[in-house]
Amino acid sequence: MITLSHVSKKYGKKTVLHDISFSVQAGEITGVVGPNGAGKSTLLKCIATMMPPTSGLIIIDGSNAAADPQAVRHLIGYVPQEIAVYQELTVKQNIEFFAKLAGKRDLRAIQERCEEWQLMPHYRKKVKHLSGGNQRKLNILVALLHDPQLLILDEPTVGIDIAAKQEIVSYLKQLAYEGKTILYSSHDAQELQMLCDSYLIMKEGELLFYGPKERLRQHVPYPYNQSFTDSLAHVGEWANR
Amino acid sequence: MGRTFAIAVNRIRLLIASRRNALLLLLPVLFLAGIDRFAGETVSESKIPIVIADSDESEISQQVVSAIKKNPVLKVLVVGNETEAQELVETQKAAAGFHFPEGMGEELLANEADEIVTVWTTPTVISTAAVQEMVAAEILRPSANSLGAETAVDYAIKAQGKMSKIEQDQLWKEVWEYSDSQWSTKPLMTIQDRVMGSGTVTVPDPNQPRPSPNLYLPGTLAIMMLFAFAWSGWAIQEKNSTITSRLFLTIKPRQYVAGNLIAMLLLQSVLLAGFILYGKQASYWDAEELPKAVATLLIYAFLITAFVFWLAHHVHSMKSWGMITITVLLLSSLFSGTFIPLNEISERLQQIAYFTPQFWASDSMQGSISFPVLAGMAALGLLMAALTTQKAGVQR
Repeated sequence: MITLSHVSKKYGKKTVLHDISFSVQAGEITGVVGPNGAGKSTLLKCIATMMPPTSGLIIIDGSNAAADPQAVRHLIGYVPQEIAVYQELTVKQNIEFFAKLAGKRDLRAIQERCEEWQLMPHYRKKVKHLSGGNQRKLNILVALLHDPQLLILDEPTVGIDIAAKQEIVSYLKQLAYEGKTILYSSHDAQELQMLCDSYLIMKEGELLFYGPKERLRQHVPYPYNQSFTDSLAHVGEWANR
Repeated sequence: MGRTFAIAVNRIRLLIASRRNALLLLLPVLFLAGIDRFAGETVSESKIPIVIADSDESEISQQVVSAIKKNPVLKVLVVGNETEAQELVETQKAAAGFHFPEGMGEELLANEADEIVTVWTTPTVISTAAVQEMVAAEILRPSANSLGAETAVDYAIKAQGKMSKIEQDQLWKEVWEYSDSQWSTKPLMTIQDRVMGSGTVTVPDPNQPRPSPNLYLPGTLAIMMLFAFAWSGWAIQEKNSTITSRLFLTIKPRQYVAGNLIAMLLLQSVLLAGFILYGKQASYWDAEELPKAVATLLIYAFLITAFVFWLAHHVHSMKSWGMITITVLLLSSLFSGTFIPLNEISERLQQIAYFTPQFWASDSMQGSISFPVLAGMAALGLLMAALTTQKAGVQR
């Protein structure tokens, strides 16, 4: 589904991504992990065609995303870290607006999803009056309006309680079950453990590890490999060794 | 087109939903109500006080006094004797004093109006020439009516050879009334006098009352600019938010800029319609001026909306935006020559006027170079829209 080959991104003289290469299979949930400043958000934005890489290839479903972003955008749903919907509008108005922009006229599928995700009781409420968890759900739902094959989520559960996080994780698992490929960035090791099939670990713009969780233990030095959550929670520390 | 339209509708919905914007809409309402009241007070305060000492107290002299009193520019005080009238002029409680001597009515009917009335004026009071002209016109009125009536009766007698006294009186009366009904006092010239610190005072045509133009047009231009700023503030918050990142995955920057500009322009047009309707109702625009005024104000609205939207894309905080709004609004309003006449300010500061859209809008409405100015304003607006598209399209 996604193949990155020697992707680099520079801002002026500063290298934010350095020679990143990996491949993600369709239907996989990949956790993107790393300390702050590792380049996770930049990597996700490059894959989401929101910024072009300085060099390298990004192939999504056989198309070169960097050369022709328009060709792959219909395949991508992007969920930013912030709540990127209009707070002054209702859930319904937001969905209708973003659906219009996505060229989606039939809203039945998304309304069904609202029902499943328990947003229907809040359908006519202004976003600013929703709980943090429900705002996060809407933030993800808007990215699903055009039924994308690839869902890119940049820390989509920041600032919400554990129950809401678990709820969102279960919805995302359902999406993967439906065949969607998911790239998921988070600092929450438990959440990543619950959700992901494979991991992409970054530090200072470099790819330290990419592979399934079974291989991660062999890669992480002692004592950080004693538990899986420690392996993910202390990336910054073991990567410096 | 559908996406651009969706952006426009959404922006209008968001701008209307904002409480701050809803409250701000009270401002033009208060402004129009204010200038209405101000215009009324100005008319009353700007009436020129004159005093008439009517020693004749005849039917004719009283008719003259009554006609003068009807003049909306004059505030007439009638006193019984010359001394009292002179005192009022000397103490500057009246701009001019007029003495109607005994027998004035008879002399007027006899068409002997030369030097019949004595006038006292004071050199420190403006517009006495205009006042004399208006009073003189009313004094000449019965004389002219009488002359016309006498002439008509003479011709009738000559034509018929014989005419009874009753018929002569009847004809005389009819001609007098006809002549009187045709009388319409207008100053022969527009008299402009400089007044310390308050610009130019124009003695108006009494038959054409107008609202205070000194506030209406600059106020309209300033309020439209204020709304352009208020309706662009969202761009600062949105351009740094991830909403635009999300939007640009489905739409092009030019659709985003065009949709939002259309929304703001539509709202400006509604605001403008309010101002134009008021101006039309208050007779500020006549039928001939109206199309030009509407075209100019629409192009002005487009220019400032595009310019302010472009400016908003270069500002990073709402605090700075507030400061910029106040600075641009105050400087452009003060130095555009719309609120304060340009010749009241120093020559160096006058140069600023050429950089203010208010100056060009006002000038194109009043001047004769409207087409190049309007075309220039429209072109500048298009340039600003194009530059905003480039800025909005920067990859974040």
